[in-house]
Amino acid sequence: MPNAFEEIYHRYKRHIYTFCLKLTGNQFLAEDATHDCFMKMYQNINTLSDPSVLRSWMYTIARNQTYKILKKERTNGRLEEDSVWSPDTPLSLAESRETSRIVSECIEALKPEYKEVLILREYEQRSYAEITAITGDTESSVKSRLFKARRALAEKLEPYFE
Amino acid sequence: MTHLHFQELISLHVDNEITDTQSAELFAHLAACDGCRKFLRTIIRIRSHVASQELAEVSQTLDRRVLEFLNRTTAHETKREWIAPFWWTRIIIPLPAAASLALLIIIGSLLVSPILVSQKSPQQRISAEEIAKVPPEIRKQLDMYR
Repeated sequence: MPNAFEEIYHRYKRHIYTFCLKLTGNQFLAEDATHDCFMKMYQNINTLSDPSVLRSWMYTIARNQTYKILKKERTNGRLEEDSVWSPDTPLSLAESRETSRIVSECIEALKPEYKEVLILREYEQRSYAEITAITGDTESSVKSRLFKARRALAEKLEPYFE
Repeated sequence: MTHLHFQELISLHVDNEITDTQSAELFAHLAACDGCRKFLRTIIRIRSHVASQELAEVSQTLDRRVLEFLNRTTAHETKREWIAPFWWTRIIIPLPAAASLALLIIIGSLLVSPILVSQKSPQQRISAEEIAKVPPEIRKQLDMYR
């Protein structure tokens, strides 16, 4: 089994690491989350009865491990309906000239609950149903958060696209 | 219907999660609303910038950490395979010892028994003086049975 799992690790490590990196915005936290994710996967691989849901299952574990690590690192306030920006990550738009980098920085500056749905949809191309399964939320909640994240990004980024 | 409603439809539309009815409603509105068209263009441009980004590279440190964990877990599982169940240890240790002991007894008895057989009869241990005391007639009879 270890050889088969090594193959799974090498195939998906960049996807999971990128997901954790986008969610945390920090290389070291992302590495810890990725390591913990694959550890957890290996320990529980026998509980996966349907191989077709491997990716969703993987992202669910990655998400949970990332949040565990983020919780240790900092405290998040209550979810504010009107604000999607994380107060801990100031935008440094003035320092960056590349549009893609600006887009990345803006996404990074979102609160985790908005960032994760955007990452899963835009970077990982997960369907709404898969995002619902990964986050454990309802589909309407996923749609709502995705829309709010996009609207906030559009407001910030429109000047750069004109 | 507010712009907010149509912007929500735009979000569903870019994800192909919009119904035909909603789609017709949206495109009818977009034909007349510059603000919402701008919103759609921005969302699409954000998406194209995201799509151009490559997956992050994993460091060697992370590779090493994960592979070391897998190797450690494998070694532990291999060791565990050789730990015999309790009932097996009750049999496997005494059984060869008992078999060896039985074999020694058998071999020993085979070696010793010719020696036992070849030992002199009680009669031959009797001294010559005592034999002389036995009447000749009886001595002749005893010689017949030797």
